[in-house]
Amino acid sequence: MTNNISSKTITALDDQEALLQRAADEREAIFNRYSLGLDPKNVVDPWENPTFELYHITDKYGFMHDSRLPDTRDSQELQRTKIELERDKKWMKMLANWNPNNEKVRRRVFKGIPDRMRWPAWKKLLNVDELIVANRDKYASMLALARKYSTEVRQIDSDVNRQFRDNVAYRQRYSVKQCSLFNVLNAYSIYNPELGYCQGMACLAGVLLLFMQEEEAFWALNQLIIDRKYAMHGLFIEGFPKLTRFLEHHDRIMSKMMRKLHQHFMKHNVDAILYSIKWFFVIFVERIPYSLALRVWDIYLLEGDRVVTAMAVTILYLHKHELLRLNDMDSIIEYLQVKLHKNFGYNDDYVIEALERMMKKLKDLKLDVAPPAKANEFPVRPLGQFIEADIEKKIGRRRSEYTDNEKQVITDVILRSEQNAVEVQSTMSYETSECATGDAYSMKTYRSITSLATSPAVSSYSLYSNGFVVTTNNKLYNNDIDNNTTSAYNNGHNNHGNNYNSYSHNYRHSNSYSYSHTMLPLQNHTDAEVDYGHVDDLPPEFNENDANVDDDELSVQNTRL
Amino acid sequence: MATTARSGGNASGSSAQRPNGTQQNKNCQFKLVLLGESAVGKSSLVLRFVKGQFHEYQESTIGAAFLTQTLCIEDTVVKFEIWDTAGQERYHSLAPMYYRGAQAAIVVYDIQNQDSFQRAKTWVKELHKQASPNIVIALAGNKADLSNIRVVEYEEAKQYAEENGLLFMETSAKTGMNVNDIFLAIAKKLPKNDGANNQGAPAGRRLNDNENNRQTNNCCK
Repeated sequence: MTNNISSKTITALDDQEALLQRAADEREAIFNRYSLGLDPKNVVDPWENPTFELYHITDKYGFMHDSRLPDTRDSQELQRTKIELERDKKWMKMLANWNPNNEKVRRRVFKGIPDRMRWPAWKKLLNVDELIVANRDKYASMLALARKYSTEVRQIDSDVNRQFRDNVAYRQRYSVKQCSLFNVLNAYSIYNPELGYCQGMACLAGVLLLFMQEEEAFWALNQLIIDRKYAMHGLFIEGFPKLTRFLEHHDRIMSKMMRKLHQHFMKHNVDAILYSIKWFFVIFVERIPYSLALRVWDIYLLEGDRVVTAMAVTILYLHKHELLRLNDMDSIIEYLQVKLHKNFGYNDDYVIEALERMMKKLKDLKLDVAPPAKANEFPVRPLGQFIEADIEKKIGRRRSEYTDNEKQVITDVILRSEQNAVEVQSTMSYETSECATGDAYSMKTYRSITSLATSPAVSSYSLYSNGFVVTTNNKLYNNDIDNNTTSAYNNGHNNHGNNYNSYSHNYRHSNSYSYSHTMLPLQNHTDAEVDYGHVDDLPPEFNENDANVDDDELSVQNTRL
Repeated sequence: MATTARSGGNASGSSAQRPNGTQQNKNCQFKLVLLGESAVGKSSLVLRFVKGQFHEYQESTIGAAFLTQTLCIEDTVVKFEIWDTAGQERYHSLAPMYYRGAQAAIVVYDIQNQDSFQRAKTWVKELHKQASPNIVIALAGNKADLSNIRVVEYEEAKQYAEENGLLFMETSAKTGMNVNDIFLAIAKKLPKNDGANNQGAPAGRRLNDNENNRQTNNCCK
């Protein structure tokens, strides 16, 4: 509403009649509006309705939440802002004299790149500006080729339509960022035709585009995929060779450092591939809170893929006790995939400190780096040279047979889960482990993987998941196994029954967890139902192996962790 | 999770003695896998079934997702362990890991998309060849709320399903149409199958059951 006092009427203060008329008009106009009520003729300015709720539910990264975020900032937040302002200045100086090998850079990256500095800092870490200069016009030409020849357009379109739709930048269909995401992915599929497009890449490019512009994001994505430090090419190509390699390494670490949890997972058929694929493919985005994921990205961009290995173990380490209390696959997966994304339970600084210590610990144990990649993880042909797709690809026809690469990955994945099952079983039946891995068993394993079979008797995996029966009451093990491992297994159990009971007692005692340090409330859970009648409670001598680092040793050394 | 009932094998004397209809609240558990082309609505079907929700912009599934839901049929509690897989062809090679040992599968296509129907047929073929012989397969023609712009005719899909022994329904994760029904139909069909055949897929696993006669071939009727 506007007030129609003109300069003329103000000067004519003595013109009382005009003033009275003005007041009468105004009264009439206002009354009229109320008489109209919700009538559509009653035109309302946007500010008169609370249609800007968006601003109250959007966080500083543009992500929208279910409910309003707090209006006032607490003292911690204010303190953090103050620190960030100081850090901004230091970063500006540091970026002007950039030297990534400087210890100062490393220290500051671990402290977290300030939000405002992430754009220039990530560009430096990924060498983006140099790449743009060195590849002038390349992006534009790839994009032009994509428009004519991209065979991935349908898949990319359907993924762009659902990537980060809870972020204001991607909220609106065909928004600037949605278009950029579409362009970057299509152009990249032409630039690197051996890779093309794989689901997961939209998430990576989506994060990059929240900090960069289109062409910058293209080259940043290329660095993540091609540079040996990150080498994500091997993760996304057909057959996922790097995934297999990293999963194996992850299992190796778990079996050495967190054996109890590892066995707990195996007992409940929680294979690492179920919870960690997104950790590896999109560097923890949508599996841990976004602010924490950015901190991990900072370090990942500096240090490369060993960070991913260490972070995976750190997550499990920090939540080990919670996870050990969950007694079915359902709740374990839910915890790792959903709960930790909503609320990690520890503040970001604390987690990053734990990550840094874990990296050091892994280095000491020579477990920080996964075994070297094979040649199949890297592109063979030079990048950026256009190759027209074959007719099958052009028309988007699916293959009906597996390729050799795919057969390999199927074999690898299944073999791995079986090996894990064997490992758990052999730990369970300490004295009979030879029996469990003996000839009869191996042959079954072999048959099942070569035939890809799931028919019941052949699959040793189903043999395991079925035979491996543990009741939850303290009657220890009952089992239905009808093959020759049964008797031996029972013998093992009988021999050690007493030890088991005494250990069970100790375990209860030693696990009166105290989370007094920086842990934030994660959830209320009932301790009453914790069940100790499980393989994890095996007597210490069952688990111990001099060559390995025991859980308890680790926890002693890492009480700070 | 405590005990596991195996089909076939060491049937103890007690296995076949359960009197029909006299046991209360039997529990059993089935592994179910969702397969189908990308963006046909696999995750949305699961979300509707498990949480009763629908997200217009369901994020793309990377690898696979795992959820559970429980149904009651008469005196039996059926728990579905649901594996929701990624649809992109590249992830195809991970699928055997999920359909291995599955007692049921829902193969999903989008009624607006002929390619996705062809793809569904390929999945059915693969399941017949590679999965447990007695796996119960349902075909779901999703996005049925958009039937005014359909491309795949109902009759065509129905006929295909009949010829291949599949359950068939057109579903809509958006409106909820037939979503519970298709899971229910699977649940009803499952136990009969298990009972009929000892050589087939493992029977549903029985849950937290302290009775002695765990080794039944058929956990629920």
